[in-house]
Amino acid sequence: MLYERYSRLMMAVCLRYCKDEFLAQEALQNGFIKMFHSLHCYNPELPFGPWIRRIMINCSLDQLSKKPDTVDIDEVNYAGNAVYNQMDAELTGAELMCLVDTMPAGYRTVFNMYVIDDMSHQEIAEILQITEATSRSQLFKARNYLKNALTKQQKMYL
Amino acid sequence: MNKRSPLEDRLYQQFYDTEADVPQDMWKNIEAHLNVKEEKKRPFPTFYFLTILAVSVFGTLAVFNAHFTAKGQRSDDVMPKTVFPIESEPLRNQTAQKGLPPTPAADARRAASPGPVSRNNKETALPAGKDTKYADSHDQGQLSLVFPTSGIKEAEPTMMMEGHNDPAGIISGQATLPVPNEAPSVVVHQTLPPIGQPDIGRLSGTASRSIALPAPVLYRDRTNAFFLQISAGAGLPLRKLRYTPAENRAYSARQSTEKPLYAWNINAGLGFLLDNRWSFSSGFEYFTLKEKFNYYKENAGRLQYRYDENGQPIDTQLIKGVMIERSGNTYQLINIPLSIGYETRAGKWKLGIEAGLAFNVSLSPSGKILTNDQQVQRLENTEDIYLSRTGISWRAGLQCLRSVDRTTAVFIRPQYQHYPERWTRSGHPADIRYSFLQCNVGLRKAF
Repeated sequence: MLYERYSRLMMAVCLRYCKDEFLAQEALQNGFIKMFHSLHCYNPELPFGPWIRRIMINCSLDQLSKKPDTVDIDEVNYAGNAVYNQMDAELTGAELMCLVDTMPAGYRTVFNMYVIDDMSHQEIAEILQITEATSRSQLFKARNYLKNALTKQQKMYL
Repeated sequence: MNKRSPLEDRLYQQFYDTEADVPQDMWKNIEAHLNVKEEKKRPFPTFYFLTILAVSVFGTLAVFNAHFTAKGQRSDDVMPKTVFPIESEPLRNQTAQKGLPPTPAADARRAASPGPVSRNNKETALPAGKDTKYADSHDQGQLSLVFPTSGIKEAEPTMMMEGHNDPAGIISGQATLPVPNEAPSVVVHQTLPPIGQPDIGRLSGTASRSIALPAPVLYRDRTNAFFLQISAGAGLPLRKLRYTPAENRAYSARQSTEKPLYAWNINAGLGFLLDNRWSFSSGFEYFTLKEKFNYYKENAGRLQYRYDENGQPIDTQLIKGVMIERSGNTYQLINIPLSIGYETRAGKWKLGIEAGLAFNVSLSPSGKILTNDQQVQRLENTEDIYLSRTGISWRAGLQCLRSVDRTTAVFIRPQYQHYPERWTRSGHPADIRYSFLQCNVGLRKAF
């Protein structure tokens, strides 16, 4: 069954974009509904995974656009703790993701799409309805942001 | 494959195929939504059936109307003063049938008469026992004479033959026909119309038998007519909001923040007046409901980002304050009403009742609502709260018409409208239904 096979994987995708668990759940639910209604549009010659992943990303972005980009104070503290209380020299993947989560939504979205979901700038521009140049610029800023955060963290270690 | 730094590559390797826990009831929700969507796609047989029925009824009535029009029917009034032509009969038969007291001279002249008074091979007829109108047809160049209607049914026109040499003339409105002296004359007596009745024309004097009276077109009241009507109105919305379970945060949130204000509508439609009493109408209605949304929250938090010259965020700040959200919610509906009415005349007014159904074809909400987690949500972005159609509503009301001229009438129509079906989706905990008290004013034009 499609749901059993892909739900957990897609939940992780939605969580990466939405950050908020409830929004991610809603995005996952809408994504599956959309997917079942669009099955007739799926080209069987192409892999199914990227197709459903793209649907989930679209739904996550829809959810993000509905909710203003504000975070609760608890969430901010949590993110801050994740960055500044890290004392290990070697950052784990999860910790890196915490750093990514502290990015502004625009940076984070493009970073996620380009780096983790392996989308080209053309695809990102198409989905976000922006120009490729803007996508490149957002990615550049996101990388800078991450670099700064890591540098800041290195300083804290010293 | 995109170019990535080693760090990014590590993120990709670790998170591309990562998994996360999914809530247990997620599939049930998805299944429920899929069922709702399937239900929504089902055709609406009642709607199609009634539409076909309405089209059939109007088609039949149109054919019926065209049939009478082809026979020379003429409609002059949306109100009952529309008239029909009546079969012509010779004048001699009329006088004979009515048992008018013939004079010896008249008998003699009738015997000598070559036939009925005629012109253009049409015979003149003055019917008995009917409300008659001898109307002027300017386009045909005919004379006009009215034998008024109610209250004078016993007053029948009479004709008498008089001497050949009598000077004579037929006067009707502006027209006077010269009559040769040698021709035998006809005297037409006519009862004046009662006060308040229109006097379209009058025939008096004497006329030669040899001259022809214009063929009269006699009418009786026409009782069937098509009409167009437009109206606009405003009303008071009555909302019924229920939640399942009965008391929860969403219920109190919406109850405290939303307040129905008013509704307005515009209508345009086509109708048919049957037997001058029954009316059937259908058309198009645009309906708008306005509600007030007012949300006040103390101690609300807002996160503010600060950016440096390069546009990079350097700080975040939580600002606490009072949050006030004020806006108006709008629900726009498009309906196809189907109404039946009954009217009765009361002097210059017509009073009646009207009832019917309205088939909603579109509902589009816009504005804001407060969700159970105290979040303000825009209605435009949510498809899972309101239906795209509200189904059938019924309406009933009174109607009061006043004629402006022979084909036009204005009306006022207070009515009650009720939507028995909920406006929200079946899976949604809110059950919202509306009723409206409204008053429309409009214009009706017959043709």
